[in-house]
Amino acid sequence: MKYSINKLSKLSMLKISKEEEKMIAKKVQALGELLEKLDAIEPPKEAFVLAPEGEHKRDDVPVEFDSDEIIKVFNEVKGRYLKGPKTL
Amino acid sequence: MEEIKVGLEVHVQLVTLKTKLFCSCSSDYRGKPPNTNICPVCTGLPGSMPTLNKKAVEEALKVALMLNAQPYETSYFFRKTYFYPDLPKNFQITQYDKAGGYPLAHDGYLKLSNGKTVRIERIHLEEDPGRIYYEGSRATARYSLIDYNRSGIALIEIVTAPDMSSPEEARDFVERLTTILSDVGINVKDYEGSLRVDVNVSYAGGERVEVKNVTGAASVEKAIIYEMFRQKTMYEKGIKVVRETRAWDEKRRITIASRGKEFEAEYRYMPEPDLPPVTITESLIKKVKEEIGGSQEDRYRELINDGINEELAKKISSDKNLFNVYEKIKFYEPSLKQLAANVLANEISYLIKRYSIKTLPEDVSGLAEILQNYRIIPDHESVVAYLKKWIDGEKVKISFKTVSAENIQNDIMQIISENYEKIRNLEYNKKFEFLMGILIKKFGKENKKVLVEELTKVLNKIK
Amino acid sequence: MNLEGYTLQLILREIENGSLSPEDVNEFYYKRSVELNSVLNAYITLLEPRSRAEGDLKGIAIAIKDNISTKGIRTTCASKMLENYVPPYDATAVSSLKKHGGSVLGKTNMDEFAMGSSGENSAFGPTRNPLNKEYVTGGSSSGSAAAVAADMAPIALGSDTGGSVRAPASFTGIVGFKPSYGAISRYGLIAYANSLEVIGILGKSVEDVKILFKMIAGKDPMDSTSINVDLKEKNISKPNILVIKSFVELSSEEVKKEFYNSIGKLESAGFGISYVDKFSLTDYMLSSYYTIACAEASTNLSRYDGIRYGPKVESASNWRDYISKARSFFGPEVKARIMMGTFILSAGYYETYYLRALQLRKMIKQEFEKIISGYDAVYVPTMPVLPWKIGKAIEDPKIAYAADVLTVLPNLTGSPAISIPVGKVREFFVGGQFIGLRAEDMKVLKVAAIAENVLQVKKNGRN
Repeated sequence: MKYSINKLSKLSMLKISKEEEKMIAKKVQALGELLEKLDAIEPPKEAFVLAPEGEHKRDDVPVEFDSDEIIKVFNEVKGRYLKGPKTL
Repeated sequence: MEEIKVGLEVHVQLVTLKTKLFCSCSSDYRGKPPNTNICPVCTGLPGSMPTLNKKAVEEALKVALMLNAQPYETSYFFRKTYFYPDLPKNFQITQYDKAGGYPLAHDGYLKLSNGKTVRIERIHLEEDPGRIYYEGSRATARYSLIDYNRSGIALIEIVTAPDMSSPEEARDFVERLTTILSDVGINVKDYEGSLRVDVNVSYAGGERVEVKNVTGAASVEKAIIYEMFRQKTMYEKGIKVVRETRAWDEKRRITIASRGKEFEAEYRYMPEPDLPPVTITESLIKKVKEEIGGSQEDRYRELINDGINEELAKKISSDKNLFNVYEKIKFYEPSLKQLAANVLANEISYLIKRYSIKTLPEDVSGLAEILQNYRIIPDHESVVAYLKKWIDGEKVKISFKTVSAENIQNDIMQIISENYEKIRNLEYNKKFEFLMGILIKKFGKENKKVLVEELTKVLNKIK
Repeated sequence: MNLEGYTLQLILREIENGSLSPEDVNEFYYKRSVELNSVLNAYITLLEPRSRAEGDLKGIAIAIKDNISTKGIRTTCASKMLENYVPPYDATAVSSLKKHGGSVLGKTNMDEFAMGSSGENSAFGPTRNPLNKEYVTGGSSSGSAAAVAADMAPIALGSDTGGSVRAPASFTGIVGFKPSYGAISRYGLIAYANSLEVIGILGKSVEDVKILFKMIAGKDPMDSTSINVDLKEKNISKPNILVIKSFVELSSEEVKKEFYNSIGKLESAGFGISYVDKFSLTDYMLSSYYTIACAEASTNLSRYDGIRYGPKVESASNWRDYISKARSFFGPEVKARIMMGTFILSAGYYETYYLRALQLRKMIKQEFEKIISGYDAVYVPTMPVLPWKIGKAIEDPKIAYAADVLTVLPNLTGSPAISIPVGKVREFFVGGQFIGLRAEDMKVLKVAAIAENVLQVKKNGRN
C-alpha cells in the first residue's frame, strides 16, 4: 500500500478518530494483502469494461413521483429548498 | 499579438425529450417550485437505480451524425466521482473515453463561416446536476439552498480540439452549432441556460486555462477576449500562466479564479454497474438518418439540382420544416415544385415568423390544393388566408363556380345593353369600374381574373 | 400455540385448511421476536402485526434485511449514517411480496452496509447465534438468519454480495438461497457492490425459499440488470454433481469430515458424484472479489454526506468540512472498504488493481462454465470454518475476509447458489452449497431439495 491512511481518508472525505485509526489501519492492511496477490496476474492488453449483459432502455414517458414524500426525507428545508452547507 | 488556441466543451440539454436521462421525471423543470420535479433516482436516494432514456440515445445520435461524428457500436456509462452539494450521488453518470470506455461518438467536425474546419473529438451523454441558490450573496449567505428539479436532465457534451484561434471563431462555432441543433429540433434559444460552454484558452503556447459555465455564443466570445488579455498581460509581465479553472462572471464580464468546487483531477472514473452498455445498431443509425434528413448543404444542393434559384434555395434549405414540405410536394406533384419553392420562401416563411409557428403539417394535400388552384385565387390576401388555414390544420377546399369565357361575354353584352344609358358618357376607366361592380356581384370575387380579361375584350371590341 | 420448527409451507397449508389463522401466525412470531430480540439482537426494527389475510401469503409477515427499502419503515443498513432514514418507496422485491399478500414483520440486523461475514459490524451491536449466544451468526444477513433459525420469523429476505445469505444460513443451520445475478430486482436494495449482489432468501427448507423466490423473481423495468429466469419445475431424480477438491481442502478438519460424510450419503442415495482436483484460480477469487466490491462500494457510498438525509452536522467551517464530519458516522469496516476502493480507483492504480480484478473475474467465469458443463451443480462446503466467538475477527480482520473464500465464486460468476445444512458438529451445523449456471435457479433448487431429503440433518424441522 503506497497511500497512507491519512491521504486515503482525505481523498474519501472521511474523518477518522484517533480511536478508530488503529483498527482501520489493520483492516486496510488485510485488504491490501489481498490486492497484492493481483500482481501475479498478467494485466489485460487493453482496458475493458465488464458491463452487465442485456439491453434495457426506458421509453420517454413522464411518470410523476410524489415529491412531498422526498421533501419528508430531507434533513432540513426552507420553503421547498433543501438547506445545505455554504459552498464557499 | 501572439496566437491563442481555443477548445470548447459544449453542454447541451436535450430539450426535445419529455423525461430526464435516467428517471421518468419530467424534463420540463423550468419555472417549477423547487424540488417538485424529483424522485428517488434523481435525488440519489439509497437503493435507487438509473434506467436509460431510449429517446436520449436517439437524440444524441442525431446531433453526432449532424456533426459528422462516428458513433461507437458499443459505448458505456461511467461514474465520475466528486463531492459537491448539487450532485446528489456525489458522482455524475457520464461517458468516458479512457479506462476501457467509449463515448457515444467520436471524430466529427464542424465548418466555420470562414471555411475553417474545427475537429470534434467526442460527443457523449451525461446527467445535469441540481442547482444551488443563496439568499443574498454567496459570500455572506450562512447556508445554501438546493433545488434538484434540474438534477438528471439529459445533456450531451461536445468536445472540440483546440482548433479555434480567435474569440470570433469560437463565437461562430457556437452559433453554427446552435443552427445545427435547431435543425434537429433542439432549439436551445428557447430554453434559458440549455447551452453551457467550458472554454479552454491558452495564450502563446502557455498553459491552458479552463473557464467554466459560460452561457451562449456572445458570452463565449467575451470570456475569451477577457482571458486573452489577462493572459497576455501576464505574459508580457513575465508571469507564468498556471493551468487552472476559472469561472465566468456574467455580470462583471470577467473570469475569476474558482474556489469552492472540487476540481481535483482525481475523478476516480469507474464503469456504472447498474447500466448495460449502449449499442448503436446500423438500423438505428438508418432510422435516425431518415429522421434528420441530411445537412443544410445536402438540402441546398438538392434544391439547386431541381432548378430552384439560389436565393430561394438558400432560404428553404436553412429551415428543415420548409424543406420537408418542399420534398413532400415534389413527391405529390412534381410540376408544382417551382411554385411551391416560391410560396415556401415567401408567404409560408412570412407566416412562420408572424405567428411563431413551430411545425408545419405533415399532410400537404391542402397545400397542393392551394398551389394547383393558385392561378384562380383572386388576390394575394386570399392566398395567404388559405395558407394559414392549411398551417392551422384546417381542411382546404377551393371550389369556385368558374364560368366559361363565352358565357361571360354574352352576359357582359347583356349587362352593357341594360345599363347603356348610364355608361355611355362615362370614360373608359369609370365605365370599366361600373361594369365590374355588377359582374363581381353576379359571378363572385373568385372569378375576378376571368371577368377582367373578358370585360377588357368586350369593351375593346365595342369601342 | 407453538409454531417452533414450522416451515412456511406448513403454515400456509394449515391456514388453507383452517387449523391456523394468519393473525395467530403473526402474533406468534411477533411475541416470540419481542421476547428473544433482547438476547439475539436479530431485529433493528420490529413492527406490530397488522395483517390482512389475502393473497398467496395470506397476510403473513416476513423479516426483511435492513438494507432493503421499505416505504414508511426506517431502513438503516445497520449504520449510524441511516439511523433515522425512512424510505419514500418500497424496493421492488417488497412490493412484489405485498402484492402476494405478504407484509413486513421487521427489519433485521446486519453488518453495516452488508460489509462483513460475521454479523458483528453493526452500529446496533452484533447479532447472536441462536445455536450459541457467544458465537457469531455469520453475515452480513445475520439478523435474517437468526430470526429464521430462532423461529422469530417464518422466512426472511437477505442480500448476498459475497456470501451474505449463505454464510449466516450455514452458521445457523438453515437454508440460504442466492439466486442468479438479476433474477430478483435490486431496485430498492441499498447498494454495496452492484455488480456482485442480489436479494436472497433465508428459510427453513428448500421448498420454503422456492415458494418465495417464485413470487419475487422476474425482470423489473426499474432495474436494467434484471432478467427473467425460467421458473418451471425441473425434472431431475438422480443429480450429477461435481465436487471441487481444492475448495474442500481450504476447510477445517471438522468441516471437511462432515462434508465428505454428506457426499457418501448422497452417493448411496443415487447422486452421481464426480471430482475435479483443482479450480486453478482458487487463490485469486478473494482478491478479485474484494477489489471489485471495494471499488463499487466507494462510489456507492459517496452519496452519504449528511446533506439530504443522515446525520446533520451542527457546525462546519465549510462544505468539505461538513461532508467529512457527516461521513465520520460510518463504522470502521465501512471506512476501511471505502478507503480501499478509493485507492483502487485512483489514477495509476486503476490499471494495477481494478483492471486485473476484472480480468480475473472474466477468467474465473470462463473456468467455472467449463468445469460445470455436463453436471447439474457444483457441490462444495459453504463456510470453511465453524462459527467463531464474537470478537475474535475484530482482533484479526483476516479471519473474516478469509471466511468468504468459498462463497464469492457464485457472485463473481452470477450463478445461483444455495446452502443447506449437510452435517452437524456439536451445537453447530456444517453447510454445503450447490452452485449452478446463471439462470438455472430452478435446477439448483431441485438438486438441493433432493439432497435435503436425503441428508435429513435437521430432524426438528416440521414440513
